[in-house]
Amino acid sequence: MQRSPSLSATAGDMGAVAFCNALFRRNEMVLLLCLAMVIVFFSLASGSFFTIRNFANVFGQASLAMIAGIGVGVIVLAGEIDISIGSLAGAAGIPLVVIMNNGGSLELGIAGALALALTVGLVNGYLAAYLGINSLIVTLGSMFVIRGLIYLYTGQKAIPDEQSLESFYQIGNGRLLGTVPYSALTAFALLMGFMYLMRHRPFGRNIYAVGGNPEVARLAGFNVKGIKFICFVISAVLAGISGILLSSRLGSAVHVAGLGFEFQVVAAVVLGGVSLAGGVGSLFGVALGVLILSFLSNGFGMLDVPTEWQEVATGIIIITAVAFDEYKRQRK
Amino acid sequence: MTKPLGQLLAILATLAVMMVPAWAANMPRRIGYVTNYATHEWYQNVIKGMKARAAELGIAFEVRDANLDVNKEVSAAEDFMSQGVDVLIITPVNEGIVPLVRRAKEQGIPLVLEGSPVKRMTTMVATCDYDTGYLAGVEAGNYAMNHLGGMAKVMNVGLPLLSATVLRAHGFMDGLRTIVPNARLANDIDGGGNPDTALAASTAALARNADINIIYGINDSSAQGGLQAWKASGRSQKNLLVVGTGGEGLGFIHSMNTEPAYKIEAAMFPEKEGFTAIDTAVKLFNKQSVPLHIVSPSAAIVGADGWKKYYSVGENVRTIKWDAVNRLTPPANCMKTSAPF
Repeated sequence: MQRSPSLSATAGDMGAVAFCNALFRRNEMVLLLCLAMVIVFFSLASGSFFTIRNFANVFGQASLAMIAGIGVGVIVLAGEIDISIGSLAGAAGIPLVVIMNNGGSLELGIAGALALALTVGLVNGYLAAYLGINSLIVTLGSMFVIRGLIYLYTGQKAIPDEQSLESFYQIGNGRLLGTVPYSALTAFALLMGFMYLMRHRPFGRNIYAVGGNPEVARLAGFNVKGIKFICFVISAVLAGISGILLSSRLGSAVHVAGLGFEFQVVAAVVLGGVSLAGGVGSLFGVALGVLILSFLSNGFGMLDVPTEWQEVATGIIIITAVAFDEYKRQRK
Repeated sequence: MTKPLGQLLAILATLAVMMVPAWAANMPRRIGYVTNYATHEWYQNVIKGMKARAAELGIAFEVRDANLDVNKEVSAAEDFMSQGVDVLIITPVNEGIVPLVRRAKEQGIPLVLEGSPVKRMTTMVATCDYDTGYLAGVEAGNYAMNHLGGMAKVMNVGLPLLSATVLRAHGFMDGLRTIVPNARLANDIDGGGNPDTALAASTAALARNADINIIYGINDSSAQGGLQAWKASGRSQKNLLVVGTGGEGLGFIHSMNTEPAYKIEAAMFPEKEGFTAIDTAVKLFNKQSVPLHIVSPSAAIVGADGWKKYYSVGENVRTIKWDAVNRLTPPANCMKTSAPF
């Protein structure tokens, strides 16, 4: 039986609508579309935007938020929050630079920075997961404690890298083949590793279960406290890695480094479609959220948009994205 | 006789036309400036000076704001470098731009710093903080001898966090003591560099010890905060002298016009600093040698009408009088500096 052309066209239209609906149900597809739109817009608006050099720059700059964003994404998926990451990223540079300045190697400095991050993660995790204190309060408190200790230790001055170690300079400023920043490669490797963990390993699936409904997860036999505890440690260690790269970019342990970084990262996580209620979202979405904000910042700068308007626009974009996400969820 | 003269003029005119592109070729096409805090009046006026000079020289000039975030400052400078600006000017948020200085050198992009020095820099345009305080201190000493009975008991509304502001206060006291040798620092407080903290800290300090007759502010906000605290405590301005530093915006002009005690301003002319930074950028672009520290002038403005020598004020806008400011001769070197060289 041959269908009439008009009927066939209607079916085709319905198919296209269904395809579009299916596409838009995937949050990442919407984000990819947004990222593409941002890139196309700024490419048309500025001749300097669509160049390998500029893209490499943006990836390098985004890498710090990307690495910390993976950690925050994991903890938000587990139904908690960590806003101590900015202070921790700033603090991680201190043992790193102090150890190097006192004759230690870069490796020893990195070990010191990671040890500090691990300690903070353990404390945050214990207080929030095992003592049941609200994670917003715990990490808000540790944010202030860490920042205060940074100021006390440094006397509110930057501690410069006195050894001028080439390897220290290279980790945050070096580029593979003179083009791709090492920090971007580090972020990409971590993103791939954690995406695999979250999608294909039981631990990742457990995080979604715990974040989605902790009570059901507990009744189903999941170690809810243990899983959340580990998520705090992951978040802190990744913030520490981000801090190491930041310190290298700045060539010193800067007492104000990482101020406000937590807002930048949480904004990217939320923009990336991770539900603050936990259990919904993906690290790929987080990565796209980071890239969208980074390209926006870069593009706005090229168009000479004043900082005040950049902040207004970024805020509106985040609220719109979250409202759209919420609208989709309610329709479901 | 007229024919050879006409030929000579024609040749000269042709040469002049040929010279224009050659001269223009020595100008950078684009200069990028990363400021540390564009919402502050001081930097707005630095930018104003830069824009005016760049426009005069036919240079495209772009500005990015780090908003006091050194990581953002580094990113903005990277963006400028990737866009291929010919010269970069940066007001450092702090020492965190040292690796950037190295990268700019590696990429062959001339870099001028404005305001604060960092290690490995090629050059910096800045006023001399100590000298600025010193000049104001001398004028304050003269005022104390003529109007305060030769007594000088000072409340310094300072900012101990920054070496530059500490130098200003030291310069002020040293200058003051050249005229009033027994001048005393009665209150030395941390006003945070902003009017709110300055007001709170000054109020507390005056409650402890109000036996002062000079308020020195390391910037205009600090001086105004100190004066507000004095007024809030119900004291008269009759035997008081207030000295501000910076001359960053309209605030000090308003204070000099309306507050009887606000008699002296240690002006640092941000517009001129911006102007000089562009000229320095052009020199670096042309590979001319420049000193490590190019001193931008400062001057003590005295009396209610003293500012009129250097500025005119329209509706909420001040305009610098370039002729007067350009006549100021800065010293080749600062009396004292905190620069790491």
